[in-house]
Amino acid sequence: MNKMIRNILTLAFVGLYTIATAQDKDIPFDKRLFEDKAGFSEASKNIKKGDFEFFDGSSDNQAKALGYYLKANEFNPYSSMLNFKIGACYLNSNQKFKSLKYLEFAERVNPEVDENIKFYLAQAQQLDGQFDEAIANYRSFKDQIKQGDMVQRQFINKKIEECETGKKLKANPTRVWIDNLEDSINTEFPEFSPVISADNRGLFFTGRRPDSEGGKIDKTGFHYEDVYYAERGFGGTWSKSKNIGVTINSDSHDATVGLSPDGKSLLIYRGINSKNGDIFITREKEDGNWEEPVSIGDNINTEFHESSASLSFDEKTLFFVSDKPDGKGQHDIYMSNWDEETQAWGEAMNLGDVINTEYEEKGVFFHPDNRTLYFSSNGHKTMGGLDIFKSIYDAESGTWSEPENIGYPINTPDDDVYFVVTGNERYAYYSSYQDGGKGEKDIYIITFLGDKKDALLADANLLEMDYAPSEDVASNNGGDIINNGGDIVENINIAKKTLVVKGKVIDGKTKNGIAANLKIINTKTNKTVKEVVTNPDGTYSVMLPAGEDYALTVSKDSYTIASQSLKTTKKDASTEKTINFELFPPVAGSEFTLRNIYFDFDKSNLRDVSVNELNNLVTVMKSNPTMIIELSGHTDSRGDEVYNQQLSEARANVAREYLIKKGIDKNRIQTKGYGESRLEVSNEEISKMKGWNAKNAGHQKNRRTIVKVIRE
Amino acid sequence: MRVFLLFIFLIPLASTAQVKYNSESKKLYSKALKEYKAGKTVEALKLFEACVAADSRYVEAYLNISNIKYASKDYASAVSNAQQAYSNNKFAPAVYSQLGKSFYMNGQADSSKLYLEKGLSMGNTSESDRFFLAKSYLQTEDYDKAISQLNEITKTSDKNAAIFNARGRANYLTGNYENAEADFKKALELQPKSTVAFSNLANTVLVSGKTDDAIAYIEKGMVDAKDDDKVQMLILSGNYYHEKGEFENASKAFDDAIALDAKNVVVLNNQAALLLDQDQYESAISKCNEALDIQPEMMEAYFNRGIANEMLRKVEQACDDWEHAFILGSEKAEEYLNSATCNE
Repeated sequence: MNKMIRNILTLAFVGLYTIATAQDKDIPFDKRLFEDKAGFSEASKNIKKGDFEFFDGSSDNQAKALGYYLKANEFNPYSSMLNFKIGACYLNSNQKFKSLKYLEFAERVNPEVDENIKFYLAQAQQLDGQFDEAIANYRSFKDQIKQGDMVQRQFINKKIEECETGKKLKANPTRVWIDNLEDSINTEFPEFSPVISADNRGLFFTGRRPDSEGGKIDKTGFHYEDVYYAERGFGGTWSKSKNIGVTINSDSHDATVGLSPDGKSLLIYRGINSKNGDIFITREKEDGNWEEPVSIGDNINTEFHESSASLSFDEKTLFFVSDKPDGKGQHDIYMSNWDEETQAWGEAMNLGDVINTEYEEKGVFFHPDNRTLYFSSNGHKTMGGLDIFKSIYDAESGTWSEPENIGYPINTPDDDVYFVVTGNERYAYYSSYQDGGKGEKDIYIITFLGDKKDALLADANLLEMDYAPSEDVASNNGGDIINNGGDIVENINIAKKTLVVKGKVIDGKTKNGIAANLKIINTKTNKTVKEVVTNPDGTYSVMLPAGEDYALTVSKDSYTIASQSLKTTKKDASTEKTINFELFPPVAGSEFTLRNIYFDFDKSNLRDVSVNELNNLVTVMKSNPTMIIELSGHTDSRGDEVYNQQLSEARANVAREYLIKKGIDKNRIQTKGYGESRLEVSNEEISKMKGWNAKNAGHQKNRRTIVKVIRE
Repeated sequence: MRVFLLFIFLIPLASTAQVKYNSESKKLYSKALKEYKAGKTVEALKLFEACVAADSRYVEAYLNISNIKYASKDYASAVSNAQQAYSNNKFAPAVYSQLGKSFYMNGQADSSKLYLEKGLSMGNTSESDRFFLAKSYLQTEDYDKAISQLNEITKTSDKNAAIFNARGRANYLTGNYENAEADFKKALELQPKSTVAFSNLANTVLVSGKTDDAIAYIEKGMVDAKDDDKVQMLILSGNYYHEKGEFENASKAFDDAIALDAKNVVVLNNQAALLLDQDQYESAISKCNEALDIQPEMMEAYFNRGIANEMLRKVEQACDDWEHAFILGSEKAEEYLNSATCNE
C-alpha cells in the first residue's frame, strides 16, 4: 500500500514537472512528439488553413486565421511559432490586449521564432502600458533595421516617442471615472460612435445588432451598422435603446456621425464601404419622427471618404473629416460655414497645420461652448494609436491653440476615437473595446472629477497666556504668572455723586438701533464732558456728575442731528435717567428739534453754549450741500403773545446769521417765528406739574428751534 | 457746648457722606481687611462672610469675597459675590471691574463685555480692565475692538507677555499674520520659555506659509509643554508634516495627540484629512463621523466627508455634506455645490 501511494505520488510529480518545464520549452508541431496522431493531424490542418488566411495579410482574413490557430493551440499550446502567429493575429484584431501573453511566450521559449518578434512584442507591451519594456524591444528591433531604411526607422522612432508620451501621461492621470453604460445601451454586439445632446438627455449611437435594417451581415461577421437612440430623464438612467427606424436606417451601413446640441438635428454616415461614405443630415419633426436624411451638399461630400462631423451650437458652422487629396495627409478636419443666401454649406476649409498633420485626424466634436474642438489623431503626441486631443479657438486672433492630449486613462495605447462631451463638461462618452465589456465594442461614460480636492485641515487652537497686571510682572523673574484676585477693596468712594444716563439711538424711519456719536456738554461750563460712540445697537450708558446741566447731541453721517437737554440736581445722584434719540435722514419734509440753542430769557442773543448745537447743524448743512432748511423759533407761553412772536422770529434770525457766518449760503436758510403758537407742552400740562423744577422743564421744552428740511 | 452741638451735627453728615452699614458689620469688615492685608485669606474670607451676614448691603465686603474666590479660581462664586455687590451699588466702577473679569474667567464673555464696557464708560481704564475687555471682545469675535483696547494698553505698558499674546491672537484671527507673528515674538521675548508663545508662533508661521520656521518653534515648545498644550503642539506638528507630505510622521503626531485627548475633534478631522490624501476614503469617513458625533457643527469634518463620499461615488451624499459645510462657512464648499458635480 505504501509502495502504491509512493508510485502515484512519483507519477504526479513527474507529470507536474513536465508541465512546468514545458511552459518554458518550445514544443514544435512535430508528429514524432505527439502520441495522439489524430489530434495532431487535425491541429496541423487547422494550422494550414490558418496560414492560408494569415499570409493574406488583411484584417478580415487574420480574424479567420486566428480562429484556426486557436483550435490548433488547444492541441499544443507550447509551440513558439503558433503562439507568435496567434499574438500577431490578435494585434490586428479588436482584441489587441490578448496578444501579449502569446508573444511573450513565443519570445521567451524561442527568441528566434520570427525576425519581427521584438517588434510585435514591443507593440503588445506598449498596448499593455509596459512602456519601458516596449522601448527596449523597439530599440532592439531598430538595431536590426538597415541604416538606409529611413521609413522603417522613422516609424520605430515614432513608436518609441509614443511610449515616452505614454509614460508621462500615465504618471499624471486625469481624474475620471470610466464606466460601461448600462445594459439598456450595451449588448453583446458592437455599440460605438456615441453622440449626445448638450443637456445629456438624448443619446444616439451606431450598433451592429440583429435587428439592423435589412438584416445583412458583412465580412466582419457582424450585422450592418444602424443608428440607435435612447433617452433619459433628469438624473435618471438611459431608456432601453431602440433602432431609430427605416427613415434613417437603410439596408446599407448607417452610422451616427454628429448631433446638434439641441438634439434635433442628426448627422449620419451612409456608405456601402469604407472608401466613399458621405454625410447626411436629418431633423426631428414635431411629431417625434425624423425627416428623410439629405446629403449635406457637395461642398462637404466628395467622392472620397467623409466620416465624422459636428455642428456648432448655432448650427452655422460644420466641422467634418475627409481624406480628400488636398489635405495634410490621410484624414483631415475641415470646416464649413452655412450660407444664408444659398441655404447651403459653404466651401470647405482645412483647419490648418496646428490641427491637421500628415497622419490621421478623425472623430471631430465641437463643444457647445463654441470654442473647444475635440478630435482624435495619431499625428500629435499620442501614447499609441489614435488619441483624443482638444484645441481652443481664439476668436480674436482667429487661431487654434496647440492641441493638448486629454490624458490617460481616457487615452490608451490603442485607438481612442469618437469622443463627445456634455454641455456642462461633467461627462463625456466614447466607445472602446476593453476587457470586461459586454460585447465587442461598448459605449463608456467618462465622469470628469476635476482637480484633486484638497482635504481641509483644522488649525490648532491659539493658546492663551495667564495674566497678571504689569506691576506684578515686573516683580517676577519670568515663567508663567499666577493670577491674583486684584486690588483689595477698602472703600468705594462715591465722593463724586453721579448718576447714570442711558438710552438708545434709533433710525427714525426704520426704528432700528444705530451706532451714532453722542456728545455731552456741561451747559454751565460749556465743556465737553463725554464724547462716545453708541453701541452698534444704538444703546449707550454714561455716568455724569449729578447737580449739573447738560446738552446732549447725537449725530451720524447721512442723518440730521438730535438733541436733548438734561437738568440734574444733587438729589439725582445714584439714580438712572433714560434719554432716547431718533435720527432721521435729511429728506424733504423731515424735521428735527434743536433743544440746546439757548437764549437768555426775553433775549435773542445766543448763549455761548448754543454754538455747539449750531456747529453740528453747520456740519449737517455742509454734508448735504443742496439742502435747504427752515429754522423756526418757538418760545414758551410766558409773556405777551405778540412779543413772543417777535422774539421767536428774532431768535430764528440770530441762528440764521450764525450759520451764514459759518459759510452756509443765505439762500439755503429760511426762517420763521411761531412764538407760543405751537407749544410742545401745553399750559394745562405745565399747570399740572408739581414743583418749580418740573414746570420750568416744561417751559424749557417749549423753548426750541425746529429745523425743517425744505429740500434735500 | 457749641462745639459739642456742632460735632453732633457733623456725625450724621459724615455718616451719610461715607458708609451706611451697621456698626457690627463695620467692625467685622475692619478685622477682615486687616487679615486680608496680612495675607491671611482664609481668616479674611470668614470675616468678610460674617460681615455680609451682619449687613447684606456691604458692597466692599462682597467685592473682597469675590476677589478671594477669584484668586482661588472659584469663578462662579466670584461672579455671584460680585453680583451681590452690584445689586447693592450700581454706581461704583470697582463693581463693574470685578463683575467683568469674574464673568470672563467663568466663561461668560458676553456678560463680561457688557459690564466692562459700562465700567469703561465710567472711567475704568486700568490695564486689567482693558485687558479683560479685550479678551471678551476676542471671545465674542469683535477682533478690531480687542486690538483697539490692547493697543491702548501697550501705549503705556510693554512688559507684559500676556498683552502681546492676546494682541497676537486678535491679529491672527483677523488674518493679519505679520502683526500676529511680531506680537507672539514679543511675547516670547518677554517669556523665553513659554510653551504658549512657541505654540502660537508655530501656528502663525504655518498658516502664513512659512512652514520651515514652524518645526523649530514646535520642537522648542514641546520641551516644557503640559498635556493640554502638548496636544496643540502635536496638532501643529501633524499639520506641519502633512503639509510636507511626510504622512508617516504626521500620522504619528496625530496618534500621539489622540492618545492624550481621545475626543479632540481637530485631531480626528486632521486624521481624516491625512487618510483622504492616502485615498483611504472609508476610514476617512469614519474619522469624520467620530468628529461630528462630538461636535455636530464642525465645518471641516463635513467638508472632508464630502470629498470622501464623492470618491466613493456617493455624489448625493457628498453634495449634502458640502451643503452643511457651506452653511457653516466654507466658501470652497459653495464652489463645489455650484459645480457640475452637484448640478446635473
